[in-house]
Amino acid sequence: MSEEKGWREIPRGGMILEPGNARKYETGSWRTFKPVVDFNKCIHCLFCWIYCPESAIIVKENKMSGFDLAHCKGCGICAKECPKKAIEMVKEEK
Amino acid sequence: MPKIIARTGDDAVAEAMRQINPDVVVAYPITPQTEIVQFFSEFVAQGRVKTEFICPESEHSAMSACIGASAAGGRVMTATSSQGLAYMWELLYIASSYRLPIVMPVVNRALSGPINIHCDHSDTMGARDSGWIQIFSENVQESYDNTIQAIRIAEHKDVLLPVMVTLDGFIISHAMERFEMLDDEVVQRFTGEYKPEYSLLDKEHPITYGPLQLFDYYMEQKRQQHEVMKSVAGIVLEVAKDFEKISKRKYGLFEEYKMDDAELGIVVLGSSAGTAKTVVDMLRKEGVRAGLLKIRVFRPFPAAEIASSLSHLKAIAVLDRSDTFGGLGGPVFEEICGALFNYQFPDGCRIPVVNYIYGLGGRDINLDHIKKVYMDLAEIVQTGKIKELVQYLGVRE
Amino acid sequence: MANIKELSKKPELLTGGHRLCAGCGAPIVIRQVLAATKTPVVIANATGCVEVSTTIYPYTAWNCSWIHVAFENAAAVIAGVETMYRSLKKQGKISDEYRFIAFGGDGGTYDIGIQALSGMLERGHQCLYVCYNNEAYMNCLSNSSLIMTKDGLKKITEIKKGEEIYAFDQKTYDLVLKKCTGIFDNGVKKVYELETLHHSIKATGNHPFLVLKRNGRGKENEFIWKTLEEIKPGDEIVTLKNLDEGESFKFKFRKVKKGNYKVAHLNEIDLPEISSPDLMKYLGIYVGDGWIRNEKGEVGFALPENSKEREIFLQLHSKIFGKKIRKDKNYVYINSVNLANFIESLGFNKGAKNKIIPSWVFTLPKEEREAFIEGLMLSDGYKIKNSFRYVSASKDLLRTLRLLLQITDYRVGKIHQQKKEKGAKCVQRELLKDSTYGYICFSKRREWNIRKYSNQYKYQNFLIGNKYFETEKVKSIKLIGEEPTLDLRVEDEHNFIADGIVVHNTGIQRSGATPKGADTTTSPVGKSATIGKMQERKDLTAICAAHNVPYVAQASPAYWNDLVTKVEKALNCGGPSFINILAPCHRGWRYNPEDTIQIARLAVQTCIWPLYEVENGKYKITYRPKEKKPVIEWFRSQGRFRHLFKPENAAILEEIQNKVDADWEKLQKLESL
Repeated sequence: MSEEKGWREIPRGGMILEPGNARKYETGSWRTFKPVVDFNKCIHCLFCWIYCPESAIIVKENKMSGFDLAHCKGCGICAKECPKKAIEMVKEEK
Repeated sequence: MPKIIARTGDDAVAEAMRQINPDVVVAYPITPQTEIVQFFSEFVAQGRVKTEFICPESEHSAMSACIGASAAGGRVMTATSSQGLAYMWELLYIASSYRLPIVMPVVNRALSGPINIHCDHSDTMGARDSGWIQIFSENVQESYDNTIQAIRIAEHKDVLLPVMVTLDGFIISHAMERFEMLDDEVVQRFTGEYKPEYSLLDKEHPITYGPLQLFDYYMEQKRQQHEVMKSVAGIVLEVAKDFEKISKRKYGLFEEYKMDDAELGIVVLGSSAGTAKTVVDMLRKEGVRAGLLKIRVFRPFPAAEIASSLSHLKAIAVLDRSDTFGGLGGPVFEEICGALFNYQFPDGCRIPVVNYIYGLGGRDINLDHIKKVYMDLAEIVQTGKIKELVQYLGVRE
Repeated sequence: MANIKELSKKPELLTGGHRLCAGCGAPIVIRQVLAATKTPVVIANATGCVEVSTTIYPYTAWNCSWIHVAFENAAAVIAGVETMYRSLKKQGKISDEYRFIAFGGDGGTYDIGIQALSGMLERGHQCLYVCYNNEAYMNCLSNSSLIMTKDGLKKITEIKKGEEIYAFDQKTYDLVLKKCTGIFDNGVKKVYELETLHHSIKATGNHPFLVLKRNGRGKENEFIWKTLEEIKPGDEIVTLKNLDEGESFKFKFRKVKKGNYKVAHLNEIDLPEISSPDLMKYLGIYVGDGWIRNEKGEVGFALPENSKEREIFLQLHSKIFGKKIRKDKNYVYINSVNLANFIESLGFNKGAKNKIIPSWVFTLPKEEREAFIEGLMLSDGYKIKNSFRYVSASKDLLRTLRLLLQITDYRVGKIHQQKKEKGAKCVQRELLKDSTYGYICFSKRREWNIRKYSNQYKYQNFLIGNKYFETEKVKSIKLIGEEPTLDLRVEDEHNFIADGIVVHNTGIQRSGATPKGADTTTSPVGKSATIGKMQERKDLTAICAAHNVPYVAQASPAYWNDLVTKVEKALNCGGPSFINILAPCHRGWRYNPEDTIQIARLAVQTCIWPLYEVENGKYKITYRPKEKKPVIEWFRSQGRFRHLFKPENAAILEEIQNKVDADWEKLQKLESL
């Protein structure tokens, strides 16, 4: 969390000047279950990417390459929609 | 060369808008502002302006679109009156809190109920806490001049606030007066080009306008807004000085008419100041030391300066063209009392100040009414007693 | 055809780190829409879930320019942005291609936002309006409603399935008993209070009430259903004025035997097994003046010495219980564990602020109810001229008492509140501290000489002469705020009596297009209506198409390819466009978060949310399910429809299936034009 600024330091008009800075806010702690992918089954169809509400599927060079666990909330949609059942939701260890 | 022409207030304001040539105008018609929109749309149709002009489906959408357009980094104007201003009420606060320099002529008309299309200041006064700068005009010339100056005031980098330029409904808006219209290029040079620092249309620097600010930030944002209002007075005077160079007309935060040695003074806004000045002249001939203070900038209220100007009077009458229904008196009266108490006489004001609420719903105010006010003031000075603190002037009891 | 790999190369315009619920459908919709853009975009967002959760200061999840202004004006704001763009482009100050998108939830689009949306579409701005649609439509009653059942007056929250509830027979105007077929928690909703002279009820704006429609001289008057929003002050609604003569209540109380209890004051006492007028009078006094202290095995009454109330009370007590009483200046006490437990078991509650009249009192014969009321008046009531006033600190007591009085031949006014200071006199007692009290005024009903002036009386009260019901004029309808609400369904007659007023079965949407149906008979309109179009109050897609804009469509995030293609078409159609996109909400719809896409798919497969587009007026269905699934599967998938798939509701289910089929047929016909 950012340190709270005084009224002289915040931009005028309530504007936020840094686009997409919500990335700094980590929602990963919301999870109870986390996704785990088996790359032997994955066919890189990228359905998980297009169905993820958090933009938490990392795609590199047209391939599914992992999860952004700092933001994944563990909703399980990716596991549910994967046509090859390559993703499993696993209980998060403490 | 500036030319002297005869025009109504609405027409003159429309000419000012044409000369300013804003990027976008979104305006919805309402009596008595309608002519501004009509005249301006004719200019658009004739190709005399570059403005993209939209006819929205309501005033609420008009101000919404103005906010969107202004945030998209260009010069935006609109105009309204009475119920239209009330309809966009929630957006007035948003426009000022987003620091968007929208300029809006407001043709002062009474707020309903019952419905009344004639002049009083209840609409503008109803928006006095919205964070907009409010400038009042006495006649067609002032309406024209104020609209042009408003652009410079609003867009000044130390201000960046929306401005309401008001003119009295029908009395100024529909009355034909001679006024001097400046040359197009002179106005263009004076207003200059609007170069916004931020814009939604800056793809290299995307911005977010209007986030959710919770209890941890909202107050800081408002504190910042509070502070900005303090710089406005200085900038209004700066712009007035520049305007004097191109027009030879002087403007300030208010106008003092025969105040130097006055004993009895009236504070008034808008067109009634013209009537009152005539009374002052008449009374002066009879040896009465009458004087007049006409407020031009009502928001931010120049409390210290006004208090100083009034400090030598023996009695003051504040004329309000709207009521607060439950406040101490009319809105101007409340401000004047507050100013005198805080800036001149913290231990108790020795000058009696009384309030007259007049002209509601277009009720005429004439020389006799104002003369009565001065006579009342004279009586107060003589007897040392105030019969009534707040009264309605010109009403049938 | 969109290529997913190409889409994935674009930078994310909505980042992670927003605070929408895990599994929320809205961000999926937004990501897919933005993935379809090829130019810089500016977004205007209406107030709502998305706006609030994606821009909690100082964070923003938006990687593109974004503006939020208010709830109802996203379309107007984006129109303003687009106009500035056109102006600056014309002046040569901007050369880039931009696209403009407004996002609004169904809240900020369908009702409050429709003005701005219509204006934007009509003026031809080159903007796309995306409505992310995540709400279904249910009408309901406030949680505090009191329902008249066979077992008496109960809170709606206490009603169980299968219970018998009183209803209004719409053919004979008789009082009948019907079974409750389901109760449903409908969450917090905006609630209005409707008031007549003698009744008041809280319900959502779309809840139907039975209203008298006067058809003029010489014609038959009839009853029709009108939603609360359609009702005006002056309309006459049907209220309950009498129940059938009941029976004395048999108590099922088990005494405590000596030896089971430690307190010395076990004390033997005779307890009645059945109610009687004397007992009811006694209990009436208890409600106002009595208290119980179980730990002491004591029942006490605040009856001052030498007062008429004490005299009457002592007589009653010795008649019913025959037991010894301790007395002092202000109070009387009975030491008996069994009496204390017995009175407690009757359900009046303890404590001045939460006393109520338990449901069984409503089932008693008239004589016993009258005696109870007399007892109440002896304690906290008093007479003023020809009417009575009863004072109490318990609002629930006043509400239940009001309804009891209404069915016992009294006319009651509204519940008033008053504040009194410590020491002030209230009835005959001094207050111990500053208190807020409520009171009601009531008087005996007048007897109308129906035979002599039948037409006149009938004109004033259409149901005069009816044993159980009468009509009352609506005095006011006020919005009071948000409250938890419940749905209640009753078989057959599809109405019940809540807070004394006849109301329609809930969970049924009655749109302005309800068919007139039985016009020629005297039975009321409103053949048991269907749930109707569940995901839309109005067919907004059709309304937008009626603006004759170049592109309008419906989409679902489960069919991302179809969605993306539609967005591309919309952005490049050269004019205004509108896409209505289903965005399932697992909190509101009640399903597991991981099923969001599944649900979005099911909606399409059941043809409840058909995927189609209207391009320059030409309809085209863009996806035909290979196997059209029955709507029951859609209902089964979500908790909010739980009450629908009982065998009793087969008829309604069939109606909905028929409607969905009809709409699907109609869409196909439109396509062939």
